[in-house]
Amino acid sequence: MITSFSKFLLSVFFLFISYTGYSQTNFTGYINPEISINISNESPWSHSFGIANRDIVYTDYENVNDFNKELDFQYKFLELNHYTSREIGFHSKLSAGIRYRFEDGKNETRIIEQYAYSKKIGRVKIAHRLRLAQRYREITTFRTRYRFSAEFPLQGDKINPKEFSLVASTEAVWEMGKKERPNLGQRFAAQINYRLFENTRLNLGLEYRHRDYTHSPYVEVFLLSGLKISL
Amino acid sequence: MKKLCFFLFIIFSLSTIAQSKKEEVEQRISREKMPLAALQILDLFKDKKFKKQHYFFEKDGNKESFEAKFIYNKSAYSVEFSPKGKLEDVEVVIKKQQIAPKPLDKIESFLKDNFDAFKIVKVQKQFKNGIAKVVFEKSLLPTNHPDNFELIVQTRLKGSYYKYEFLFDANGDYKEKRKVVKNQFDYLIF
Repeated sequence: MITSFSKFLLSVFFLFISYTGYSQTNFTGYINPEISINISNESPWSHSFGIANRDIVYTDYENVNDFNKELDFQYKFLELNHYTSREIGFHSKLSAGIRYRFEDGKNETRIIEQYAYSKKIGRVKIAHRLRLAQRYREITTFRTRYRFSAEFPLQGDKINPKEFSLVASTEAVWEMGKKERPNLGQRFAAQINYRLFENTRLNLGLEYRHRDYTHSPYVEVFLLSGLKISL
Repeated sequence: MKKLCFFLFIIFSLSTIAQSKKEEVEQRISREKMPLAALQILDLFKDKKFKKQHYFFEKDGNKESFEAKFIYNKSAYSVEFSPKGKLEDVEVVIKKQQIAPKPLDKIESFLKDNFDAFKIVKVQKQFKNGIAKVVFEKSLLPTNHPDNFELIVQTRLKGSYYKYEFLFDANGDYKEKRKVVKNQFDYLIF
């Protein structure tokens, strides 16, 4: 417990180091609350539905058109998503999904194909996720991303209801399209998860996105919060 | 306000659904909260070097029990007691290969016959028959003749995936099985 907690503190510390290091240049802060419902039964099929919202709460770009400096707030988009998955092995899952973003005047449709491998090793749950996405907006972008995440229980060996856990993850994102330079990005996230009930989880954390680091780097930090229900 | 009420209603109804499901819940407790009789049995083996000894209160459906977990000879032990402190069983985590070849063959062919595919996730030696002190003593020896083998197995049958807890006797003959609530991963993936 003590070691896990110090590990958590360390990861938060590193997040803030990166935060201050880049806060003077090309930095944007977001909040991103989301609610998702995962439905699975004894068949190999499962479904996931989600709704999320994203707003800018800080930016150091000089000429951002819509950013309200007095309120420190700008609505970005509302997103609906759905995934249908099928188990294809003891630990693997294939999913197809669609996302729709309502963003002022430039709505986006995103089609997603995903392979996930998840497993419990001792007391730690790990998940690998490989995602291909096609983003259809004014321009079309193709995205390949891989994420590795691990969940550590902070109380005991298992996460029972009313207990906390720490989720750490990192994701590599490669973007390309006909009208844009291919670019690479890396994301790091640390989140605290609280298992409110058997099937209900709340999470709160920070995600640090280092984007387009081979060309013109910029940084985004997200305050993530979520309610996740498994039925 | 209406929305909030509706939302709260959904959340609370979800939790009641959850309560009707069966799953083991373990809670760490201090040594003082263990039944006295249980501690007396454990103290008989004080001179053995048990590492990382912790105590738990366990609820499995309506059944309540107390558990002591520790490491001995690099193996993970879990000793289960009734609320009155009576020894219920001793379980030792082993590798699949540590089961003697004959019973292992029997177990694997049983699983092969009953499922399209399977994967053994966890194997435990179980000691439970006899006087508490003798049972405990026997479990501390490196024997591969326990009373039972308890296996957690992931299975596939006709395209559906289930997780079971199987009990086989020392000869590898099937005794019983029960379904295990699967770990949730979706919240980690999406």
